[in-house]
Amino acid sequence: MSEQRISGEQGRSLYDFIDVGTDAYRMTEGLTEEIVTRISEEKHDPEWMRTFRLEALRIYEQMRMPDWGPSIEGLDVGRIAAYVRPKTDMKDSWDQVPEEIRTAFDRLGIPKAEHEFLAGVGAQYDSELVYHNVRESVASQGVVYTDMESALTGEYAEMVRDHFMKLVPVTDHKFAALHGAVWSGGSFVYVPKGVHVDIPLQSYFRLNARGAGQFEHTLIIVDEGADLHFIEGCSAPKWNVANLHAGCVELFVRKGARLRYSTVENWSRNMYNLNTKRALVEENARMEWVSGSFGSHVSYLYPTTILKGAGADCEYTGITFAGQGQNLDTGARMVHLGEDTSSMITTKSISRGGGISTFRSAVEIRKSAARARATVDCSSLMLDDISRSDTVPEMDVRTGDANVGHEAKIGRISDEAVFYLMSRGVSEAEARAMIVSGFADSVSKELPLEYAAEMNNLIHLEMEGRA
Amino acid sequence: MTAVHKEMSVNHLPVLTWHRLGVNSAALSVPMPGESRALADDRLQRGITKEICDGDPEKLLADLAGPIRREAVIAGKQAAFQAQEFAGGLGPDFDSFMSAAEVPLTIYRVPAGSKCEAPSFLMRDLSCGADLAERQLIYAEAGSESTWILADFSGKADQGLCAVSTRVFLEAGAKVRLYKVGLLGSGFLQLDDTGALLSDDASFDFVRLLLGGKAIYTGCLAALNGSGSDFYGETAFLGAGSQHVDINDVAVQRGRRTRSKMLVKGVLRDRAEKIYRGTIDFRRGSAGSAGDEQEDILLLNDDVINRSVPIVLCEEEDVDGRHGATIGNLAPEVLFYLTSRGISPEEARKMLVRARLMGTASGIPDAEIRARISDYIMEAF
Repeated sequence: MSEQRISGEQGRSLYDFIDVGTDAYRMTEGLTEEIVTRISEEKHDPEWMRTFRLEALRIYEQMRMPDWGPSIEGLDVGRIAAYVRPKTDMKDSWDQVPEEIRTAFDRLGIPKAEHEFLAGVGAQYDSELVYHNVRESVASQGVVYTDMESALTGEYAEMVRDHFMKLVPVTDHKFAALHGAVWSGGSFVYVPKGVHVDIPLQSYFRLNARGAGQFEHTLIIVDEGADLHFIEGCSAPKWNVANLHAGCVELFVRKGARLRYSTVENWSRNMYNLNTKRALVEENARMEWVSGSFGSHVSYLYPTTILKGAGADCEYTGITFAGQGQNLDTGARMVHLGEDTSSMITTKSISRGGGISTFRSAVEIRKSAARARATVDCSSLMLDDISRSDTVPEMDVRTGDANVGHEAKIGRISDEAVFYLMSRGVSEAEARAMIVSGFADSVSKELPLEYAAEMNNLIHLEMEGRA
Repeated sequence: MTAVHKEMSVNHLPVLTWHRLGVNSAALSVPMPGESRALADDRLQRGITKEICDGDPEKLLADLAGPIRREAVIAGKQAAFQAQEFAGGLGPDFDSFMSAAEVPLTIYRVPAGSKCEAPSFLMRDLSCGADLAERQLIYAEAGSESTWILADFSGKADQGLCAVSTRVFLEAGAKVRLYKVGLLGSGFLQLDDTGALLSDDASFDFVRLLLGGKAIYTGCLAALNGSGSDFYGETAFLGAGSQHVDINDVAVQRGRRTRSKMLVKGVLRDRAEKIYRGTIDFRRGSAGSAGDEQEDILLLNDDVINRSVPIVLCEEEDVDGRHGATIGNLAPEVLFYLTSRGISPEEARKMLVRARLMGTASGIPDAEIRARISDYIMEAF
């Protein structure tokens, strides 16, 4: 194999393995009308989607690169392969997945997790789903969990068409337009009225190909009074060229429903993670985001929640750990439209080894949102004096009948706390790692046990400089 | 004859955020000032000297500031502004405006070691539509202590332009307390810029009351270059009618063991709109420093717009930075407490609003100014 991979990152070995010869087809690098048309043909799009993609491409070409966040000069979309198809179609049994790909997901623990505590799993490898399955007990309740391509043409085709990129229009920003043009893979979930899915569904995204992009689309509709926990995981090996992730997540939480969307993101350090996530929350419904950002070279990630219905509620809990060579710009945006809506943003940021973390947020209370309440609480921890940590929040209140609170603090690990632990026989490095784990506790306790353990492991790797 | 206007962009955030929020800066078109007919009343304390800069004001200020500090280009992000030698909160466009208008620079010098307990006054009466464009440099020599009251006032219905640029240079151990009071008529465009450079152990207290005017753009940038330097900023404002209040305060903490604290208290009613940008910027080398910004805004109507951008930038480990904001209407339990003691809800509301604003005004060391402020607030509420 002639590809060059970055080595010497033993700590990431769990995620940083590479599979050779798994590609069946790789689209030419770059972004042209011809390439977009070919992706559409490859995926057997309905006509409306083919037109949609080309219109998105036209908008992409007209839009400017963002000038307000981390530099993305190292990303040349003209050198990204927008579509890489693995050499298998989607299976519903791990035994049918080609061995080298199945082994990759085995190493990531996905089949084991599915067996032990998930209601269903979707596994994407490069641009396509290679495995999708949902427990019979869940499917029998009418829960639909399938790949987006099947959803486009299947029983729920009209529902998908009515919702696809309606919440995140392609005009939203340049990378939303890019996503609209070249999206591939991802999941569609529909939870019928009143159905409570007691154990989580999970989609895992693995980007193996060098210099490729992953543009999966996740569309979830939780109907009235229903309840779902959806978990998203992602990883990739590290290459010496840029990879791009520009996925899109659209979540519709109907009246009285609840959706928890949890993410542990661990992209490799050559990844530009320019992901867009948005939720629309209706009357008395609840949206919960739990987000851990550990990987990627550059991240732009700000899940947005539109609290449309009266009494709608959202809680965002996130942690970002920026290590050497990382510039992670993360946060959240809450838009209050309905009366008596409430939102809470709680974030933790950690910077170490020259890493840059930025918490960026917006809380917008519109005139219609009488008696809205919002709180923002962000804490940042600086672990050395070569790193950087910024907070850039914004609040926009357009009604007198609202209450907004904001608190932020930045600081270092207190010497007293380290001394206390050391005086009880703990080494300094261990003491610092324990304190950082404690700092992250408010996020990890929101995750299922297995994912909290993964997050703690990532924190320890970061603290040891092996991430 | 139509006045010549200058287009400018002021009150830039030190780092950009999402453009659609409309908070990165403020764009405005400002008429070049006409001949100033403002009545000036300067009362300086003994020992303080006054002179008009006879050279190039820009060069003088640039020399005081020293070389431009390129660390202003924030790591990993694109700089939102051009480096400015002796920076103020409004930014370089306002400096250019004052230069284009050929506004002279008046230098007030406080001798080394002098202690001026009583305030020096720079009072400007802009009644009858007088414009004002003025630049001052307060040069506080080592170990000096001085207090300043800069007040601009006019008739209630007057209109015009009030453009004031104040730079404060504090040598080692100098202490300056600066009170700026705006009591302008309902047709005024007020542009008020403040910049301070603090040497070792210098201390700058800056209190600002923004009352009246049609549109107010004000900014203060304190550069805490010296170790042990200290900045305290307090702002109180009342936004009423269709008034627009735009504030940009920045504490750049470069020295070791520096301290900054910024408080903003305000009341918005009717269709008033306010934006507050507040930044604490810990630069590398500011070990042992602390910064705190707090905002408390009372919203009295459903048609008001309140926007806040409290930023903390940090590239130093050993610092303590925090900010907090409380935005909303009067707490029901406070209103209940007062009404349960026989005070009508309307009177209780007035009392709380007055108390909020007068809390800041009460620290001004001049009874006449305090009375003017009190009259204004009592009339407004």
